[in-house]
Amino acid sequence: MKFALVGNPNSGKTTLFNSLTGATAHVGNWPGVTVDKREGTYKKLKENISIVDLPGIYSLSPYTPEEVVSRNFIIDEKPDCVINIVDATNLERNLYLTTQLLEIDVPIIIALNMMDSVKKSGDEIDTKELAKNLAIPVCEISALKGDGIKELMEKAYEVAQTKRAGTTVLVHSDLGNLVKVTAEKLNDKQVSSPLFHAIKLIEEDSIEVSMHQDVLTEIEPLRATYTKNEFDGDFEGMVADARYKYITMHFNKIIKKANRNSNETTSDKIDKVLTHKIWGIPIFIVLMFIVFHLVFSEDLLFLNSLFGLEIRNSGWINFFTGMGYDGILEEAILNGEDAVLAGIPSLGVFLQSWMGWLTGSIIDLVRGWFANGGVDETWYAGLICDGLLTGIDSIFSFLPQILLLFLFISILEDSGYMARVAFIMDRAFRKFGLSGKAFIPLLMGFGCSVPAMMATKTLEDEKERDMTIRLAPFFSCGAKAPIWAMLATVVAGSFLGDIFVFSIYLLGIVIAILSALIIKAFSKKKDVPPFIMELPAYHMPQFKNLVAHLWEKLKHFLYKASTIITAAIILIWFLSNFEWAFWRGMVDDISESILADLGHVLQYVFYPLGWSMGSEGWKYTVASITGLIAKEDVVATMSQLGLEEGTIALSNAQIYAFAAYNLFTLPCFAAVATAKGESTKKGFLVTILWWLLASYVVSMVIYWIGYSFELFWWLGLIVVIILISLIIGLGFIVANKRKNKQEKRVA
Amino acid sequence: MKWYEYIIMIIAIGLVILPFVLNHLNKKKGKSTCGCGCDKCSANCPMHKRIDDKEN
Repeated sequence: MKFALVGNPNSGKTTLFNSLTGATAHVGNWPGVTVDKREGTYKKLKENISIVDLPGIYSLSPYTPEEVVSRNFIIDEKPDCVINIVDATNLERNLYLTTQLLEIDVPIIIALNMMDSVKKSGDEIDTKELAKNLAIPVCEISALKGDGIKELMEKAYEVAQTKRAGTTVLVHSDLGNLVKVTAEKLNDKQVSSPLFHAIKLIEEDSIEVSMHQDVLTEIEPLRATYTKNEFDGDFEGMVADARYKYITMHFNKIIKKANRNSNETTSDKIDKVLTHKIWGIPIFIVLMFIVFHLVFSEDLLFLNSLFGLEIRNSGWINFFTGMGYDGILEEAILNGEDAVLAGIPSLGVFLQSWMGWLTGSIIDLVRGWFANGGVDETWYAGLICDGLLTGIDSIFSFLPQILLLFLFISILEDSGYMARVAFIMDRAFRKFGLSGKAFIPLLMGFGCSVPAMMATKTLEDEKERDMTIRLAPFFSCGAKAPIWAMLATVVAGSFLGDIFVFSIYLLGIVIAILSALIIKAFSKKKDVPPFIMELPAYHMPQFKNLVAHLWEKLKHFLYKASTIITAAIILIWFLSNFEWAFWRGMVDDISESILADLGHVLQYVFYPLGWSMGSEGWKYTVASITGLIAKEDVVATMSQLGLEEGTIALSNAQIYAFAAYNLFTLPCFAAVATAKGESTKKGFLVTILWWLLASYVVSMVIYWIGYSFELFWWLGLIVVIILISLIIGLGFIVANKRKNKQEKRVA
Repeated sequence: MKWYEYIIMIIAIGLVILPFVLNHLNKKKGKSTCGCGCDKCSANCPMHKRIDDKEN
């Protein structure tokens, strides 16, 4: 047997699906999270039931891919039962889809979800009356808490044993006769679910018209009698109006609202602050800074920078630094100072130091075994210790920080806040040619660019899709996080680590906006379509959902680490330890290796960017290139080539320029392939060029500004002023071009 | 070279080839090829049909 879960976005379908099947499907709070169907199995009845979670839809009209997927599934695959999940806190809006589902010849049951929220607010819903009016069973559930689910499935199983003919609420409306006549004609043609198809045909649904043009022609004289009203022949509007009138008339009395001083919910009150038209974006920036501070800061709450907190006790220093007291003592002796820990590290840095101690201990243990066996100078000892273990250690040591970062972002997402971010960004992004709907895939880019680019399928406009795909990698993905984490440990000053990482993410957003502005000015793109989105109510993130997100992230990371990253590490080890005539054995000096030769040739290309200069510049060049395989490889390669905290001798300007280059350059091969598959041909070529240009230019500009400041502060200031003047000049040119375009359009 | 060195070398070469093999196998099965598990690039994604239809 097969049951389908159908309902509005954010009605709790995927939560119910996870609860029924034990799956870990991602529960997001914006449209586009579930854009395809998921299947699982419910095993607690007499027979196993296949459960299909369909994308959230507001209606069965074929305007969005989600609607097409859901509609096609119900009509073509004919599930044994449709479980219509209705959000009890938004009954009227949710019932619109229900009235459409009723018209299909399929057994249906309503799962009235979020009843816990309804009861909490003191409202009451007469579910018996609702069931009587709709002539189908209604079960109260709370998918989040797991209440009523067993009863729902037992009832659904019962309902699935019966046959059901479609019914329509339109029979009570002015369109009743037209619907009846059309349905009879389709029934004569042996069309299944004739009532559903009849109403869609009346609405001039494109799919129905293509299939039943003859019937449409037959009913045309009758349809013509309906054109002289306020809808002026808009049958879709007439049908929608009739449905809503029915819902309002019959279901208003079913809901008894508790006496409240105002109709404002808790979510409304919070939204007054968080989606404020002036403070919304600054609040978002502050929240993101707090997240980065908790993950990357070496001076939590700036206790050292602001209040001079220092830790001198060796036990406490070892605790906070993952047994790092000896290293601190060594440095202190060299500088003639006391061994002191400046401030307390954040949770992310604390976890990272202990992970580093663990992986470092494993490497020392293995090295010890090889040394005891007298084989520590062999090629395989080098491959295992200096290659594999060192490379994997470099990424694993940052794993706690990456997971912690994802945990915080998941909390913001699951609470419903990230949906608000898309909403407040719509206001700002609209000016740059992108709607809030485009911002949703960009936000997904903070996780991974591949699903972010795939999510652009929900954008109707091709040019907007190409632009969103182009900008998605600028929103730093999780794979790049180890690069920032590593460079944050190198950036001078104990409190600058979190500011550095935060500024990288911010830089990505700023350059994305600038890119959108420039691309929009030179394209023939029309106005941005309006953006309508349902904001889910705020709720406490569920612990099991958060764990599920982290587990998915960890699984993905482990998969990558055991395949692509390991392959790249072995390759890099080989190229950095052998010369072209590799049969002669390993080289004594890395500068004689194949990798050094390749790196030396390529490093000149990046000279203007600052970070590839000097005798070690080729190493940074090679590391950046290995990032094409997987961005985690940048850190793994650097580690293999001896570039770590303590050995990286770049200035802050060079570090920042290196970071900027890796942020904006071509993403990993998987993302490039996805961009190719999702963009138009021309769009893809422009995208590749844009990534190369943006990474080169931004990196170069950052280096030269930083270098100027490092030389003389006034020189830096002059460079910045010249740059700002150039940007303002470019802005004037762009504005002029847009003005001319508008004047041409008006003329 | 001793016998175990050959084995280590074969394993190392195998680990380098493994991602390509997995990619090819996943593509054949219509599964996601980047390991992210989101299935969005897999053949099962019904969005593919919409894009193909549009291009036709």
